[in-house]
Amino acid sequence: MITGDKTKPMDSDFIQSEHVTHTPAPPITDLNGAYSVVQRLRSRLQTAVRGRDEVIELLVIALLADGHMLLEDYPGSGKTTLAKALGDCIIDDKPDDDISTFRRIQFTPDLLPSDVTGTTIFDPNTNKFFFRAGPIFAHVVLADEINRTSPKVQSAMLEAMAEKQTTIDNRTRRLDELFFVIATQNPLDLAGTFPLPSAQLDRFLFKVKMHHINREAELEVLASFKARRAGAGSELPRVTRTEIVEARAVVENQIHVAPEVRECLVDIAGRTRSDPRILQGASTRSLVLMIPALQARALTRVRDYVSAEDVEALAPYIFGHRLELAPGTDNVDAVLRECLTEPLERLTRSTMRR
Amino acid sequence: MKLLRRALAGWRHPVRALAMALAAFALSWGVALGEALAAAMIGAILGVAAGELLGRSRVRPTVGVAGLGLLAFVLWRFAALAVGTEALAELAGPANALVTASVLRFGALSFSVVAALRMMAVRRPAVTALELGLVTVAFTSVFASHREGVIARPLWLSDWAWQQGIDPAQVLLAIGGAAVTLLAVLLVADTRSGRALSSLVLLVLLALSAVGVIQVVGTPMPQSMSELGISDAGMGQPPRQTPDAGNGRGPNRGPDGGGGGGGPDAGDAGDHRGGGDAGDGGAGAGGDAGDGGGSSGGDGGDGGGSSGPTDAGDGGAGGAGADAGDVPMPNLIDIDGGAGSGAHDGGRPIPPSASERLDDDQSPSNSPTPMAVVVLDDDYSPPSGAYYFRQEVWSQVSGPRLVRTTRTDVDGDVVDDFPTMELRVRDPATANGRARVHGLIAVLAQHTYPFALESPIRYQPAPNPNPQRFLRAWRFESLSQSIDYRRLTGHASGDPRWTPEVRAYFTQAPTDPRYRELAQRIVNQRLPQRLRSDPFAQALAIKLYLDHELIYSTRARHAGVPDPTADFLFGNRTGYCVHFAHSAVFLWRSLGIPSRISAGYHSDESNRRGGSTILLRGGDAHAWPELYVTGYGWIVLDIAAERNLDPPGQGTDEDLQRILGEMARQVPPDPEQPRPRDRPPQRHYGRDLGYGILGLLGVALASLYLIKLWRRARVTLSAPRSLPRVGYRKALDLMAEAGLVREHGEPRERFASRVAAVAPTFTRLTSMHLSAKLGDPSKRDPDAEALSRRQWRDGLRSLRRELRAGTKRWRRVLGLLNPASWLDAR
Repeated sequence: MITGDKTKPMDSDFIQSEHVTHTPAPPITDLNGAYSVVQRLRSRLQTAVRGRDEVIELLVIALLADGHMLLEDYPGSGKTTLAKALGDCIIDDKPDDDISTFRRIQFTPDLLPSDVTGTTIFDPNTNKFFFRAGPIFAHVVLADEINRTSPKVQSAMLEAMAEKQTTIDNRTRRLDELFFVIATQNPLDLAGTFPLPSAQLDRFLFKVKMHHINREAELEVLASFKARRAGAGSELPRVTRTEIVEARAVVENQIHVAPEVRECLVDIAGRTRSDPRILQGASTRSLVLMIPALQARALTRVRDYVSAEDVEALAPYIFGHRLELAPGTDNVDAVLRECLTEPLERLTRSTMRR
Repeated sequence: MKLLRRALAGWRHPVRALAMALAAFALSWGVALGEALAAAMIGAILGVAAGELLGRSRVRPTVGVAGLGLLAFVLWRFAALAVGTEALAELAGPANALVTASVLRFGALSFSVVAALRMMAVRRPAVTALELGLVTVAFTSVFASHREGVIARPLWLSDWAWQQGIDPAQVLLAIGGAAVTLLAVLLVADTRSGRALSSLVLLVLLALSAVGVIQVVGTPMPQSMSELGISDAGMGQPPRQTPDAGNGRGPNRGPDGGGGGGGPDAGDAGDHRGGGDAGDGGAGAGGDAGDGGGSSGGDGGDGGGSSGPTDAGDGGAGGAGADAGDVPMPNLIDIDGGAGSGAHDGGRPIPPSASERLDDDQSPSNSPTPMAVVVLDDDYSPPSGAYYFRQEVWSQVSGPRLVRTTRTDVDGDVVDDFPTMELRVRDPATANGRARVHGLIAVLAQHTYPFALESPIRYQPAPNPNPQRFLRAWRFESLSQSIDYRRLTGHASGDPRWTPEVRAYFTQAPTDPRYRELAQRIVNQRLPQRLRSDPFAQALAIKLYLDHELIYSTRARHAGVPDPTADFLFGNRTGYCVHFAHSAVFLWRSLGIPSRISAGYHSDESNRRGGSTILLRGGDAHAWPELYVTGYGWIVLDIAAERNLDPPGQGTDEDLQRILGEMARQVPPDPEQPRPRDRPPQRHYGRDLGYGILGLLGVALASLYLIKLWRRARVTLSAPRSLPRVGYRKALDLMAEAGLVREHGEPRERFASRVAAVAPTFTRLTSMHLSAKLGDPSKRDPDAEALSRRQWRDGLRSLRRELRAGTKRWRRVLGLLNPASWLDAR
């Protein structure tokens, strides 16, 4: 487990990250380093966005699990702020690759795929075509109201999300290793929208419903609004793009997933498939995607193993948008909870076995 | 298990509503009509719903209870208004007004009580005990009459059971077990842990074993008598006074001689009907009777409501009946119909009597209900032609009638208690003119006092010849009159040993001068001069006069008048044995002849049919006058009216008499001897099953405790490798004992953080356990084993400390005692 930082104490971390562009940070190879990434991200995001600790937690997990997030919310609930703050957290330590840390795409019905991915443009001076990168060439992309645009654009976006590459003029271009999409959709304003088909919803690791924040948090937002616009919290330590990529590797390799946990996941999927209230149960891909998410969550909880609690905490966000309910059933949370209980209990009890 | 739990959770409200409705039914069964019963049940069901809603709402408990009380009060007042004023009665008819009132009352009462309890129980689970207690009381009250071997109660149940060939005791125990189970289900339904379910199973097993064991331990359960043609309904009835044939056969014998005519039971039945129905019928008779009628009927009970058939129209009867409960003055004659033995001393409870016979229009004295069997050892033929079995003696003047004496120096020739050892009467009769008679009496019904052939001197307990048939048996030795009546003249009256005060006691008569006038007239008219001063001749003259003049009828009850005897003797002279006996005694006493009334059974010698067995039936109960002849003691001189208005009764069932007599003669089986073959061996199955279950339960309990102890001690013995499991198991055991149990499906971390306020160390133990169990096995450090042992030991110790500080003591003691607490540790 993570005890005592071998490399450096947190205080010196603060000073060093200010000058990170000049002196590259030592590579992250262990859980302590990975956890420091989590902490830095958390503290910056929590300063920038108030009352959204749960979503921030999920955001950090998704980032470390190399997944994308779909936020379902109302306008003005802080999603842009959140995405932008995430972009602000990340230091682009490869400035010469022409990839910015944060881009926002506002999806509209008349948007074209090339508006998203970029296009080749003829330069009369050189008599050559050159590639003009679209907004998806960024570390953090906010895909605002993704259900407003045509399926063509959606599929271009989603191909990029799944493959981390995009094909323009028959040429496949790699996106950055740290390519993280926060998509949003408005659950109510459905007029003139193209709802995402379930196959495409599957590309999102989490779908999170952002409920209105509570009264105290809202008051705090109002009180701290001015300070935050003036750049409060900008002095907090940031993370580099490389650190995140390295932390991902650490999470993948060093957080143990016990066989019982994998059994539990398979059991859950099996239950969702056999439940008569669910038309289409959890896919195998969702389970595959879930493993890194569980590992990332274990890291945020300062553990080097995945526990039943991780499964319980993440399952609603992972399976919620992947299950297709039978007609007459509408409460996906209740159904899911029933599917979870027995496998979780079995996993929990398995630890008391010899 | 899971299904059962879910079913319980889903069905607990209907089950509770059902239980409450049944409880309301059981409680109001005796006092409510059909509509009111239904109202009580519906009220209870609605009460459960309302209480549940109220309990979940924000209404304060006190406000809720007060509101419900107010509601009940308002409805109650409205009900009183419905019958108290004429508005509703005129609008909808008196019957409807009554029904409305009782529906309102019972509905409101059961609704508010149930709702209040339910609401409190939702708020404070402890009140559930109160709620369940109510249900228990309700169920128990129904079957409370079934005690002390009164096998016939409740009749509707035992009749059915016997028809099916089942011992009603088993049925009752099974009902008890079912009720206990129902209550337990209700109790468990609120707590959804597996432990409660297991205890439910345990409870059912216990109830079952109780059914099995109690039967063998031996509640005295006489079995069905239906094979003898005896109606079960008659069981438990007290002896009833009967019209008599009088002593002296032949010339004295009137047309009624054939045996007890319609006894006072007709009046008795009417009496009970009056008492029972007074709540509705009496009030229904007129709007003005209103509440008064109802309450008097209720209070008067079976002894009081004096509305016999003859004076049904008497408006004052209800009021008089109500008085009877307190001052046994006006209608005391009445009570001899109600209960022959021991009803008159007021305080003594009348044996459960004929309330179930309300709709039995037939005169019960005709019923051949057997009360006792007498087997005479000696051949004895009474000079009066009838056997008199004396049970008690009324000699003390109390108002217009005679009652049991309150003195200790007179009437020492009867006993108050059944013999448990040889019992000699305090004041035995003289042997002069008497024959020594021995015999055995076996009773089939409850009696208040023992009885024996006239002038018993010794009682002796006897083994019950057949416990399935008889309630008890005893032997007696009596000195019975053998001297002919004619030879009794020429003797003085009274005992020379008596003090003047005692003699005055036995000659105390009412102050009414008419008695003496009549007695003198009879003596003067009927006796020759030389016999006019002879006490026995005087008494005989009066007896013969009464034989001639009086008319036997059980319908003339002379109830509701201040002095029934005077009303009888100086009125229509129509009455029955008690009136006769009082008249004779009062007339004799007015002439200074010491006399008294004895009560008990009377049986014509002809009923013996030459055998030695006398079957005493309910209709044989009787009261007769006696006078004291110097040198010969108390002599029975019964009145035999020549005219009888009642229909003749049926004769003795000879077969029954013979069978019962043979049965009574049998020596009970020797307990040392092996049981005869006719004892069905399957009687043992219940005991074997019961003891088997009890034994299994004991073994299960012991093993539970052993397992608990083992899990406790295991930590110190285990290898470091298994510490994360064993140590954590102990931690879970400790938590479970303190009542902290992980929910089903709850991950360990969430449980740990849930209880972190009480047991912060548990969080650390949990993560130690999980990281050992779910962590990467290849990373495990073999060197840290000694360290981990210390960590576990310290952790467990501080956990124990935290639990001690954070939980209540009784909770921990309970947890320590609970053998199955470790089942919750998971």
